[in-house]
Amino acid sequence: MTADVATPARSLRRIRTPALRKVALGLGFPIFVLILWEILSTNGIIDPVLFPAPSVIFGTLQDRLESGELTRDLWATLSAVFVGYAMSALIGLPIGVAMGLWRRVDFTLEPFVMGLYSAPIIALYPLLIIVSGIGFTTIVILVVMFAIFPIIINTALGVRLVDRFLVRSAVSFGATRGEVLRHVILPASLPSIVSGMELAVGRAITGAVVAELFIGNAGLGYSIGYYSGFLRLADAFLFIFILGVLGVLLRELVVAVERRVRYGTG
Amino acid sequence: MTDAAPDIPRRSRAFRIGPRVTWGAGALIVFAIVWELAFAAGLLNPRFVAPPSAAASAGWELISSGEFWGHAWTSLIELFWGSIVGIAVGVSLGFAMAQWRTVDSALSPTVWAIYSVPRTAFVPMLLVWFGIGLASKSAFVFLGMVFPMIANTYLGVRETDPYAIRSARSFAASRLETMREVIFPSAFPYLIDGLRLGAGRGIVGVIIAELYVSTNGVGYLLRLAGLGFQTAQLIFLTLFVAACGIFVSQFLIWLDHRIAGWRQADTATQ
Repeated sequence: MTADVATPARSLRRIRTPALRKVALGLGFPIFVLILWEILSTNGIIDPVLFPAPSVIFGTLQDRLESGELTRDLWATLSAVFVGYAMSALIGLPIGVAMGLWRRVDFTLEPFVMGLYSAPIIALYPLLIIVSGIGFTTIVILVVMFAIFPIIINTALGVRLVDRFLVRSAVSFGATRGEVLRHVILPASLPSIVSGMELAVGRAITGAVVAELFIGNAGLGYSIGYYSGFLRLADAFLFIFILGVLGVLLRELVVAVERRVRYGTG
Repeated sequence: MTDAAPDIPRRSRAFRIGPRVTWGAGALIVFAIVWELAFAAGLLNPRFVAPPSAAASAGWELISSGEFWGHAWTSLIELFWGSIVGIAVGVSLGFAMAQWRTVDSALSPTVWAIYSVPRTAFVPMLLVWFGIGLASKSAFVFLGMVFPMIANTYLGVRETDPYAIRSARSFAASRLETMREVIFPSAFPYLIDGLRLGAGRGIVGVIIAELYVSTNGVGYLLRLAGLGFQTAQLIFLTLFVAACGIFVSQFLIWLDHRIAGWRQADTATQ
């Protein structure tokens, strides 16, 4: 009798307490670190120039908003990321599908994909500046060079690993090549394609930041470099923080779109 | 035919000379010839691109001068220290997070929040904190190495067969012995995969950091070549860095295959 009563209570506690603990610890640790940082920095125990207190960092938010820099930078970075990402998907998906479908295409392109993936493309920025200037175009090119490879590689992988029985049975039921591609191969390789698209979000943002550090005249990466150069680390920290938030939001957006596509088309 | 069946030849194919190598090498050779011919025919502006022959001779000149190796050595040292510390911290944190739930709950939101910021954003700040020499470059390599190591160690430890752990424990293995004899071998492929990711990021990372500000290293040479429009040198150095990246990555794949071929790593590849 007592066991019967005790069981649900105990199981309830077992479920709820760890979850609460998890949230408390997960929030508590960063809050603890921030408070410690604040105290150490405002008391000058750690150098407030090198490690400005969190209150100082977020205090700069208003200035940067009022000066219009934040809007300018967000717009510059976001537009480069969006255009570059869209181009990466438009170019990368067909290449990836072709590499996944035909072994010879795969073997032929593989050294180029691997080479460009591992090469420090940003080193070519002086040449790029001459060809396409220091503006938007050059930054978009660099975003594409960063973001396209996870898309190509994961799409090729997904298509290559599609169950051959599915393809064969579709063909034997009279599906044409286009139908097989659209109704069998693409849906079956969707998870892998999506994971490539997800990785590409982060890479696109990285590409934009790297490009802006070297050649931009606006953008979050540009401002981080600019303010660090003047030892105004509070402002630099603010832009890094905004960059982090942006990364998380964009990735969530891609995941949400992916979920829509997958369950929408069934 | 199961899903796994096509996996096995795909993994080993890279290590044999087959159609993959002949087609790949053929494509590279054809590309180089077309490039050279396009240049000879005057289709490409020699100010922006150099033909492969010029890149090769510029490369030969660089390599035979002692200067290049000094710069390569600088970059290697930066890479080494950043990687060593990154591996040590990453494996310890990943292991602690996988073993103790308290550590996991406390650290993982913070770790993933920092991970989601593009690393390169920290380059200017690292320069302010650590100066323009070895320490700031190593710190950047560290950032590239530590997160993949945390993620893969965590995953590897978590994926260890609980029955293997339990049977080791019931045969009176101590905690340390279980760690060394069961958990570590089981997590090893994941560690190698994390190392591969981190090394790839580290190699490009050192170059980016050196390009940004430095007085030494391969990235510094690249900067000089780029700003001086020595296109042949620029192309050679870029290819050299890419080749280093590919070599390290292939070597680690081979190592993983060699040591832990019995187990297929199914890691979070990023």
